Amino acid sequence: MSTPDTITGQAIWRQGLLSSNPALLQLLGLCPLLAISNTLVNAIGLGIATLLTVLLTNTLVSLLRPILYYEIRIPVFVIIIAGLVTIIERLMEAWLFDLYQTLGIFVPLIVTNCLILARAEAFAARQRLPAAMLDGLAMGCGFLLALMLLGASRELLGYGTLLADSQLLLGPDSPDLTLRLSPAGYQFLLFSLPPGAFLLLGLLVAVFRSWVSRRTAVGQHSSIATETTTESAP
Amino acid sequence: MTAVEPPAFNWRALLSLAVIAGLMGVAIAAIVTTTSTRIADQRMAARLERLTELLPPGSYDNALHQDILVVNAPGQFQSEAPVTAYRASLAGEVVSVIFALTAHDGYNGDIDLLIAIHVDGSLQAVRVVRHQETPGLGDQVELRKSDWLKQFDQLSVSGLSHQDWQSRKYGGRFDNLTGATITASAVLRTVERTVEYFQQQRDKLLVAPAHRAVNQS
Repeated sequence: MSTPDTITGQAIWRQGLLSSNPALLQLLGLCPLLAISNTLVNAIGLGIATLLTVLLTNTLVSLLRPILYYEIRIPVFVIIIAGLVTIIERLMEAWLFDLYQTLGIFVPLIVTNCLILARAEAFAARQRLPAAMLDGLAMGCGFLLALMLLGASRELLGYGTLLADSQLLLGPDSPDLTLRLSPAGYQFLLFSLPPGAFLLLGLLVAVFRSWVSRRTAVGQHSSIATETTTESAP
Repeated sequence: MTAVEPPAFNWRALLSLAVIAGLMGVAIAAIVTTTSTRIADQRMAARLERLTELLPPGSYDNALHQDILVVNAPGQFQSEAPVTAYRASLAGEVVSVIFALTAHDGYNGDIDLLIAIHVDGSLQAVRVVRHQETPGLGDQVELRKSDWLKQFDQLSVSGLSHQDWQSRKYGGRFDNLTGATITASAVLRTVERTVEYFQQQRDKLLVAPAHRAVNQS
């Protein structure tokens, strides 16, 4: 497709984590984000699986550039994403069965995350392999970071704990890492349920945006998201 | 996007799409075939582990997940679909039957249950395998979250009337699940129906050969 633009690694990281953070600025992939962020452990699990999918999709798309035509790019991206997610799901079920038992239902949800399609279209299809892989890593980390922020605040406000059920991620023999930061029996149901997820996400997006725009301190870039966004969230 | 290519039909593009789709298909087929036995083993082991939790160790000596019955009892359970039952036996004599059932009337969808019944008709244990009840309220049906399910452990159910199979709040004999009446009732109803079914079809369930269907008379 088009010739690769040069972009520095530092710029890729800055975009992925801050100025184009997929969840908090581009508002991509909100469906899995809202569904799975009720606890920090769930958020980390889905975040890592998503990170892996973006990284691998970007890698494959960039590798396939020599035979990637403009007309068929979207079907190709969809084939790659759906195929990779299927493969990751099978491998998890075969080799990480306990983790799969917990995350099993979230893994197919990754297909619905349009962050991955957006990165394939807007970045990986135009860049050389190293840059595409780095972008996948950076965007995946940005999504993981947003999920963790939302997961941690929902778990803290909803249950008064952090990292509850850590065994689900680390295996049944690992030490219990649960931090209880509230009196026993504390519960604020709103934050564990979907409406709380919307409220907190709204707040997080507002705070994060104002912080990033103050940090970059560029007036004309009031809507930073537009530079790379091609699709909007479902 | 930048410049759009000319609109002439692009055969190369079609070919490349077919090649990419074919390659991905081959990759998926390869992964599926290489992992299928391992996945089947893992699922079997997980199922066996779950079943083992319901019965006291040493009370049976067979492989629980291998003595399976398919129970057809339309009208008895909430769904018309056949119900899977696992038999535990000691020295060839059936000692317990574990039913894998779904209560469809939970507060937020299905509640998958395992219900173990002793040959004498008493309940041995009830466990929740999967549910989507409200966090903090309905999810107290999980043994991990509260002891509510423990009330069914080794419970003699002879002489319980339909009225008794309710939570105390409704004049029954079972503990309430605070703030989750619907969840508790759904579980209670399914357990009652299962106990009732076992009482009616006990002889058939005990003698039926494994892997055969058991039909209601």
